[in-house]
Amino acid sequence: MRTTEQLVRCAQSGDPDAFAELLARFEGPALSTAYAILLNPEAARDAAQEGSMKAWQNLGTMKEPEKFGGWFCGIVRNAAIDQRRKSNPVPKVATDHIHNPAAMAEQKELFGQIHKTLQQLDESTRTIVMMRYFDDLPTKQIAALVDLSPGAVDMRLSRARQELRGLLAGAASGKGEMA
Amino acid sequence: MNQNFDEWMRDFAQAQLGPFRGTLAENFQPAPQPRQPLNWQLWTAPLTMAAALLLTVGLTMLAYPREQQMVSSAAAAQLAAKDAGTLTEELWYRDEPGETVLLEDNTPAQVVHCEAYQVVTHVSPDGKEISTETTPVDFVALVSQPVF
Repeated sequence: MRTTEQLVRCAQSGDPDAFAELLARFEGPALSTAYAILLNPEAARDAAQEGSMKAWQNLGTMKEPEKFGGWFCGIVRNAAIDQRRKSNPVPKVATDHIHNPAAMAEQKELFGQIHKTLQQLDESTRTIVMMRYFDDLPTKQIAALVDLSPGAVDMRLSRARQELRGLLAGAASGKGEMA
Repeated sequence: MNQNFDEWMRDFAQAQLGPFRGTLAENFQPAPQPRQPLNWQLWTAPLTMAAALLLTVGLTMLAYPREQQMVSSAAAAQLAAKDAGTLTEELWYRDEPGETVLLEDNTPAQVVHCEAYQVVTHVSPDGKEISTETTPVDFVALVSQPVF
Protein backbone atom coordinates (compact mmCIF):
# COMPACT_ATOMS: atom_id res chain seq x y z
CA MET A 1 0.00 0.00 0.00
CA ARG A 2 1.35 3.40 -0.98
CA THR A 3 1.88 6.00 1.73
CA THR A 4 -0.02 9.27 1.78
CA GLU A 5 3.19 11.04 0.81
CA GLN A 6 3.72 8.79 -2.22
CA LEU A 7 0.11 9.25 -3.31
CA VAL A 8 0.38 13.02 -3.01
CA ARG A 9 3.57 13.06 -5.09
CA CYS A 10 1.87 10.99 -7.81
CA ALA A 11 -1.24 13.18 -7.70
CA GLN A 12 0.92 16.29 -7.91
CA SER A 13 2.36 14.98 -11.13
CA GLY A 14 -1.18 14.68 -12.51
CA ASP A 15 -2.22 11.12 -11.57
CA PRO A 16 -6.00 11.24 -10.91
CA ASP A 17 -6.12 7.65 -9.61
CA ALA A 18 -3.66 8.52 -6.86
CA PHE A 19 -5.82 11.48 -5.92
CA ALA A 20 -8.97 9.33 -5.90
CA GLU A 21 -7.17 6.99 -3.49
CA LEU A 22 -6.36 9.96 -1.28
CA LEU A 23 -10.00 11.00 -1.34
CA ALA A 24 -11.08 7.52 -0.30
CA ARG A 25 -8.53 7.58 2.51
CA PHE A 26 -9.59 10.97 3.90
CA GLU A 27 -13.27 10.95 3.02
CA GLY A 28 -14.44 10.31 6.59
CA PRO A 29 -12.52 13.22 8.15
CA ALA A 30 -13.58 15.50 5.29
CA LEU A 31 -17.29 14.65 5.64
CA SER A 32 -17.03 14.98 9.43
CA THR A 33 -15.41 18.40 9.09
CA ALA A 34 -18.09 19.67 6.73
CA TYR A 35 -20.89 18.16 8.82
CA ALA A 36 -19.58 19.85 11.95
CA ILE A 37 -20.10 23.21 10.25
CA LEU A 38 -23.30 22.62 8.31
CA LEU A 39 -25.10 19.99 10.45
CA ASN A 40 -26.81 18.86 7.28
CA PRO A 41 -25.67 15.58 5.64
CA GLU A 42 -26.32 16.50 1.99
CA ALA A 43 -24.80 19.93 2.39
CA ALA A 44 -21.78 18.32 4.05
CA ARG A 45 -21.36 15.97 1.10
CA ASP A 46 -21.59 18.88 -1.35
CA ALA A 47 -19.00 20.86 0.58
CA ALA A 48 -16.67 17.86 0.74
CA GLN A 49 -17.00 17.43 -3.03
CA GLU A 50 -16.36 21.09 -3.64
CA GLY A 51 -13.33 20.82 -1.37
CA SER A 52 -12.09 17.79 -3.32
CA MET A 53 -12.07 19.75 -6.57
CA LYS A 54 -10.30 22.69 -4.96
CA ALA A 55 -7.73 20.36 -3.41
CA TRP A 56 -7.03 18.78 -6.81
CA GLN A 57 -6.62 22.20 -8.39
CA ASN A 58 -4.30 23.45 -5.65
CA LEU A 59 -2.34 20.28 -5.04
CA GLY A 60 0.74 21.79 -6.67
CA THR A 61 1.00 24.42 -3.96
CA MET A 62 1.14 21.80 -1.20
CA LYS A 63 4.54 21.75 0.45
CA GLU A 64 4.18 18.99 3.04
CA PRO A 65 2.63 15.91 1.40
CA GLU A 66 2.63 13.94 4.65
CA LYS A 67 0.18 16.49 6.06
CA PHE A 68 -2.33 16.06 3.24
CA GLY A 69 -5.18 15.04 5.58
CA GLY A 70 -5.11 18.24 7.61
CA TRP A 71 -4.60 20.36 4.50
CA PHE A 72 -7.53 18.70 2.72
CA CYS A 73 -9.83 19.04 5.76
CA GLY A 74 -8.90 22.74 5.91
CA ILE A 75 -10.00 23.20 2.30
CA VAL A 76 -13.25 21.31 2.94
CA ARG A 77 -13.85 23.43 6.03
CA ASN A 78 -13.51 26.62 3.97
CA ALA A 79 -15.85 25.19 1.32
CA ALA A 80 -18.40 24.43 4.04
CA ILE A 81 -18.13 27.94 5.49
CA ASP A 82 -18.61 29.36 1.98
CA GLN A 83 -21.65 27.19 1.49
CA ARG A 84 -23.15 28.25 4.81
CA ARG A 85 -22.63 31.88 3.85
CA LYS A 86 -24.15 31.44 0.39
CA SER A 87 -27.09 29.11 0.97
CA ASN A 88 -27.25 28.62 4.74
CA PRO A 89 -28.64 25.07 4.61
CA VAL A 90 -31.05 24.15 7.37
CA PRO A 91 -29.64 21.72 9.96
CA LYS A 92 -31.17 18.35 9.31
CA VAL A 93 -31.13 14.90 10.90
CA ALA A 94 -31.01 11.94 8.52
CA THR A 95 -33.14 8.99 9.61
CA ASP A 96 -33.60 7.33 6.22
CA HIS A 97 -31.63 4.24 7.15
CA ILE A 98 -34.00 3.16 9.95
CA HIS A 99 -35.99 0.29 8.48
CA ASN A 100 -37.57 -1.09 11.62
CA PRO A 101 -40.84 0.82 12.06
CA ALA A 102 -41.04 -0.13 15.73
CA ALA A 103 -37.67 1.47 16.44
CA MET A 104 -38.16 4.38 14.10
CA ALA A 105 -39.95 6.77 16.40
CA GLU A 106 -37.61 6.08 19.27
CA GLN A 107 -34.47 6.41 17.20
CA LYS A 108 -35.68 9.51 15.44
CA GLU A 109 -36.11 11.13 18.79
CA LEU A 110 -32.70 9.96 19.96
CA PHE A 111 -30.98 11.24 16.83
CA GLY A 112 -32.86 14.50 17.19
CA GLN A 113 -31.51 14.84 20.73
CA ILE A 114 -27.95 14.09 19.64
CA HIS A 115 -28.22 16.55 16.77
CA LYS A 116 -29.57 19.23 19.10
CA THR A 117 -26.84 18.57 21.65
CA LEU A 118 -24.15 18.66 18.97
CA GLN A 119 -25.31 22.15 18.02
CA GLN A 120 -24.50 23.31 21.52
CA LEU A 121 -20.86 22.25 21.17
CA ASP A 122 -18.26 24.41 19.47
CA GLU A 123 -17.35 23.59 15.87
CA SER A 124 -13.94 22.16 16.67
CA THR A 125 -15.37 19.77 19.28
CA ARG A 126 -18.16 18.73 16.90
CA THR A 127 -15.52 17.91 14.28
CA ILE A 128 -13.61 15.78 16.75
CA VAL A 129 -16.77 13.97 17.89
CA MET A 130 -17.82 13.19 14.32
CA MET A 131 -14.33 11.99 13.36
CA ARG A 132 -14.26 9.69 16.37
CA TYR A 133 -17.73 8.21 15.90
CA PHE A 134 -18.00 8.17 12.11
CA ASP A 135 -14.61 6.70 11.36
CA ASP A 136 -13.48 5.41 14.78
CA LEU A 137 -10.32 7.46 14.32
CA PRO A 138 -7.75 7.23 17.12
CA THR A 139 -6.89 10.36 19.07
CA LYS A 140 -3.45 10.75 17.50
CA GLN A 141 -4.86 10.73 13.99
CA ILE A 142 -7.60 13.20 14.86
CA ALA A 143 -5.00 15.45 16.47
CA ALA A 144 -2.96 15.50 13.25
CA LEU A 145 -6.05 16.29 11.18
CA VAL A 146 -7.32 19.17 13.33
CA ASP A 147 -3.86 20.46 14.24
CA LEU A 148 -4.25 20.06 17.98
CA SER A 149 -2.24 18.09 20.51
CA PRO A 150 -3.54 14.60 21.36
CA GLY A 151 -4.10 15.83 24.92
CA ALA A 152 -6.32 18.66 23.72
CA VAL A 153 -8.30 16.26 21.52
CA ASP A 154 -8.85 13.88 24.43
CA MET A 155 -9.95 16.69 26.66
CA ARG A 156 -12.49 17.97 24.14
CA LEU A 157 -13.77 14.48 23.50
CA SER A 158 -14.16 13.84 27.18
CA ARG A 159 -16.07 17.07 27.77
CA ALA A 160 -18.27 16.46 24.74
CA ARG A 161 -19.06 12.92 25.82
CA GLN A 162 -19.91 14.13 29.30
CA GLU A 163 -22.21 16.80 27.96
CA LEU A 164 -23.84 14.56 25.39
CA ARG A 165 -24.22 11.71 27.85
CA GLY A 166 -25.84 13.96 30.43
CA LEU A 167 -28.33 15.36 27.96
CA LEU A 168 -29.09 11.99 26.44
CA ALA A 169 -29.46 10.35 29.84
CA GLY A 170 -31.91 13.07 30.76
CA ALA A 171 -33.88 12.50 27.60
CA ALA A 172 -33.72 8.72 28.05
CA SER A 173 -34.89 8.79 31.67
CA GLY A 174 -37.76 10.91 30.49
CA LYS A 175 -38.65 8.08 28.16
CA GLY A 176 -37.91 5.57 30.93
CA GLU A 177 -36.26 2.92 28.74
CA MET A 178 -33.32 4.16 26.74
CA ALA A 179 -30.56 3.96 29.39
CA MET B 1 -24.82 3.60 29.62
CA ASN B 2 -21.29 3.99 28.24
CA GLN B 3 -21.70 1.18 25.80
CA ASN B 4 -25.16 2.41 24.80
CA PHE B 5 -23.87 5.93 24.48
CA ASP B 6 -21.06 4.96 22.14
CA GLU B 7 -23.42 2.81 20.09
CA TRP B 8 -25.91 5.64 19.80
CA MET B 9 -23.22 8.02 18.72
CA ARG B 10 -21.90 5.57 16.13
CA ASP B 11 -25.39 4.90 14.82
CA PHE B 12 -26.03 8.60 14.63
CA ALA B 13 -22.79 9.35 12.74
CA GLN B 14 -23.41 6.45 10.35
CA ALA B 15 -26.97 7.58 9.72
CA GLN B 16 -25.81 11.10 8.89
CA LEU B 17 -22.75 10.45 6.79
CA GLY B 18 -22.67 6.70 6.06
CA PRO B 19 -24.74 6.95 2.86
CA PHE B 20 -22.04 9.17 1.35
CA ARG B 21 -19.18 6.79 1.99
CA GLY B 22 -17.30 6.19 -1.25
CA THR B 23 -18.93 9.06 -3.10
CA LEU B 24 -16.01 11.49 -3.01
CA ALA B 25 -13.66 9.26 -4.97
CA GLU B 26 -16.50 7.98 -7.13
CA ASN B 27 -17.70 11.44 -8.15
CA PHE B 28 -14.24 12.89 -8.62
CA GLN B 29 -13.79 14.09 -12.17
CA PRO B 30 -10.30 15.44 -12.66
CA ALA B 31 -10.15 18.83 -14.33
CA PRO B 32 -6.73 19.75 -15.72
CA GLN B 33 -4.49 20.96 -12.95
CA PRO B 34 -3.35 24.55 -13.45
CA ARG B 35 0.30 25.02 -14.26
CA GLN B 36 2.19 26.14 -11.24
CA PRO B 37 4.06 29.44 -11.50
CA LEU B 38 7.82 29.10 -11.61
CA ASN B 39 9.29 28.89 -8.20
CA TRP B 40 12.20 31.29 -8.62
CA GLN B 41 13.75 30.34 -5.32
CA LEU B 42 13.88 26.76 -6.52
CA TRP B 43 15.47 27.78 -9.82
CA THR B 44 17.93 30.36 -8.65
CA ALA B 45 19.53 28.37 -5.85
CA PRO B 46 21.17 25.69 -8.08
CA LEU B 47 22.08 28.29 -10.71
CA THR B 48 23.80 30.44 -8.13
CA MET B 49 25.66 27.43 -6.80
CA ALA B 50 26.76 26.39 -10.31
CA ALA B 51 27.96 29.92 -11.08
CA ALA B 52 29.91 30.06 -7.82
CA LEU B 53 31.49 26.69 -8.56
CA LEU B 54 32.53 27.77 -12.08
CA LEU B 55 34.02 30.96 -10.71
CA THR B 56 36.00 29.06 -8.09
CA VAL B 57 37.34 26.60 -10.65
CA GLY B 58 38.29 29.41 -13.02
CA LEU B 59 40.11 31.38 -10.36
CA THR B 60 41.93 28.27 -9.16
CA MET B 61 43.11 27.50 -12.68
CA LEU B 62 44.40 31.04 -13.07
CA ALA B 63 46.19 30.90 -9.78
CA TYR B 64 47.83 27.52 -10.47
CA PRO B 65 48.66 27.32 -14.17
CA ARG B 66 50.99 24.35 -13.62
CA GLU B 67 48.16 22.11 -12.62
CA GLN B 68 48.04 18.84 -14.49
CA GLN B 69 51.32 19.32 -16.27
CA MET B 70 53.57 16.45 -17.27
CA VAL B 71 56.00 15.22 -14.71
CA SER B 72 59.55 15.17 -15.97
CA SER B 73 61.17 11.90 -16.88
CA ALA B 74 63.56 12.30 -13.99
CA ALA B 75 60.77 12.68 -11.53
CA ALA B 76 58.96 9.80 -13.11
CA ALA B 77 62.00 7.62 -12.92
CA GLN B 78 62.49 8.63 -9.33
CA LEU B 79 58.96 7.66 -8.59
CA ALA B 80 59.20 4.47 -10.57
CA ALA B 81 62.40 3.33 -8.96
CA LYS B 82 60.76 3.44 -5.61
CA ASP B 83 58.30 0.74 -6.51
CA ALA B 84 60.16 -1.11 -9.15
CA GLY B 85 62.03 -3.47 -6.91
CA THR B 86 64.76 -5.55 -8.52
CA LEU B 87 65.18 -8.59 -10.69
CA THR B 88 61.95 -8.01 -12.44
CA GLU B 89 61.62 -8.06 -16.15
CA GLU B 90 59.20 -5.96 -18.07
CA LEU B 91 56.68 -5.39 -15.38
CA TRP B 92 54.01 -2.78 -15.46
CA TYR B 93 53.24 -0.89 -12.36
CA ARG B 94 50.49 1.43 -11.50
CA ASP B 95 50.94 3.88 -8.66
CA GLU B 96 48.33 4.99 -6.24
CA PRO B 97 47.59 8.68 -6.14
CA GLY B 98 49.00 10.69 -3.29
CA GLU B 99 52.74 10.45 -4.03
CA THR B 100 54.70 13.66 -3.81
CA VAL B 101 57.06 14.28 -6.74
CA LEU B 102 59.29 17.12 -7.89
CA LEU B 103 58.47 19.00 -11.02
CA GLU B 104 61.19 20.23 -13.39
CA ASP B 105 61.66 23.40 -11.40
CA ASN B 106 61.92 21.37 -8.20
CA THR B 107 58.47 22.30 -7.06
CA PRO B 108 56.92 19.46 -5.10
CA ALA B 109 53.59 18.27 -6.44
CA GLN B 110 51.16 15.56 -5.52
CA VAL B 111 50.30 12.77 -7.96
CA VAL B 112 46.65 12.50 -8.73
CA HIS B 113 46.84 9.75 -11.29
CA CYS B 114 49.81 7.79 -12.53
CA GLU B 115 50.09 5.65 -15.62
CA ALA B 116 52.61 2.89 -16.25
CA TYR B 117 56.34 2.42 -16.52
CA GLN B 118 58.60 -0.40 -17.50
CA VAL B 119 61.47 -1.94 -15.56
CA VAL B 120 64.02 -3.98 -17.47
CA THR B 121 66.60 -5.93 -15.57
CA HIS B 122 69.59 -7.29 -17.47
CA VAL B 123 70.78 -10.60 -16.19
CA SER B 124 74.05 -12.28 -17.23
CA PRO B 125 74.08 -15.86 -18.51
CA ASP B 126 75.25 -17.08 -15.14
CA GLY B 127 72.27 -15.44 -13.47
CA LYS B 128 73.98 -12.34 -12.13
CA GLU B 129 72.27 -9.05 -12.43
CA ILE B 130 74.16 -6.69 -14.68
CA SER B 131 72.03 -3.58 -14.67
CA THR B 132 68.54 -2.33 -14.20
CA GLU B 133 66.83 0.20 -16.35
CA THR B 134 63.68 1.89 -15.39
CA THR B 135 62.03 3.42 -18.38
CA PRO B 136 58.88 5.41 -18.31
CA VAL B 137 56.49 4.20 -20.98
CA ASP B 138 53.88 6.72 -21.85
CA PHE B 139 54.36 7.89 -18.34
CA VAL B 140 51.86 10.50 -17.48
CA ALA B 141 51.43 11.72 -13.97
CA LEU B 142 48.71 14.19 -13.47
CA VAL B 143 49.64 16.33 -10.56
CA SER B 144 47.55 18.48 -8.38
CA GLN B 145 48.41 21.97 -7.28
CA PRO B 146 51.95 22.38 -6.07
CA VAL B 147 52.59 21.49 -2.46
CA PHE B 148 54.39 24.26 -0.61
